Amino acid sequence: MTPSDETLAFQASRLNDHAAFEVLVARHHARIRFLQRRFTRHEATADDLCQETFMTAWQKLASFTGQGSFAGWLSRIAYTEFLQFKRRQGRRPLEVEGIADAPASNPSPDTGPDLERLLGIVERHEALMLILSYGQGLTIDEIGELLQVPAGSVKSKIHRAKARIRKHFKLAEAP
Amino acid sequence: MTNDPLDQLLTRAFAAEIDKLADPEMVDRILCRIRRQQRRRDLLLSTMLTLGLAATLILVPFNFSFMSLWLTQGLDQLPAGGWLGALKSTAPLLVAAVLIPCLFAITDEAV
Repeated sequence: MTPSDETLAFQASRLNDHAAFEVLVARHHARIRFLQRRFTRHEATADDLCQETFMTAWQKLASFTGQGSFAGWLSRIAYTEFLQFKRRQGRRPLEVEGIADAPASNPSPDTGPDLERLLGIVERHEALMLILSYGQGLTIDEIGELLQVPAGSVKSKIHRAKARIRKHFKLAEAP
Repeated sequence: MTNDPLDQLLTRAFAAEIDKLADPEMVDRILCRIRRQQRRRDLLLSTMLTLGLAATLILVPFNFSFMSLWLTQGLDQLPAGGWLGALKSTAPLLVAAVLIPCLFAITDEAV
């Protein structure tokens, strides 16, 4: 049976087990890299921040209590790394610029609209919520905690974003 | 995943983009950095422990003889320098005891 993220995190933290942490890095690096690319819109910077995220995670592993998911805990570190980077750059931290600004590519007839097109039609903050919810697998509460906004606000933004996408692509509601 | 076609579409679209970014070299780079940092910390810790132990080994016998002298001969028989001399003799040990952990904490943070 594959050990859960949480089990591996405890193993890595308590036994100083590099192999357990390696599995966690292998599982989550693409997700964190994706998140940092969305935040920074710069590949090299995103890769640096992705590395920093895991360095910080390794140092702070003992503070992971298992309340909430490991993915959520890691995303929080990634977001903090991004905010610190923005502060070092001397720009406003919450200016998550370009989060939905990528050029839209042509939709594939088999798989439906691609991600850029889906995110291209929603507001920036809504895109961020979708990224954290569907891309990072965070719960509504975890997103609220991460962005320091009420859970109700997260829920309504996601709902609004989905309504926009549904309307734009003429998708049916869930049965 | 829910039955909602939009939920499925979003989940698929994100998964496809994220899968493209998987890179074993990045995993290696991260783990290399962690191992390097760990080695630096281990080296630092062992250096500090050696320093602390050396300071203790040098200073404790010195203080021990001073204390025996003090206890056996009484306060009136303190060696030259009186209280000041006593303070001076224990000062290096106290300084070492305070400074070495501080130095370790500061350097460890920097590493």
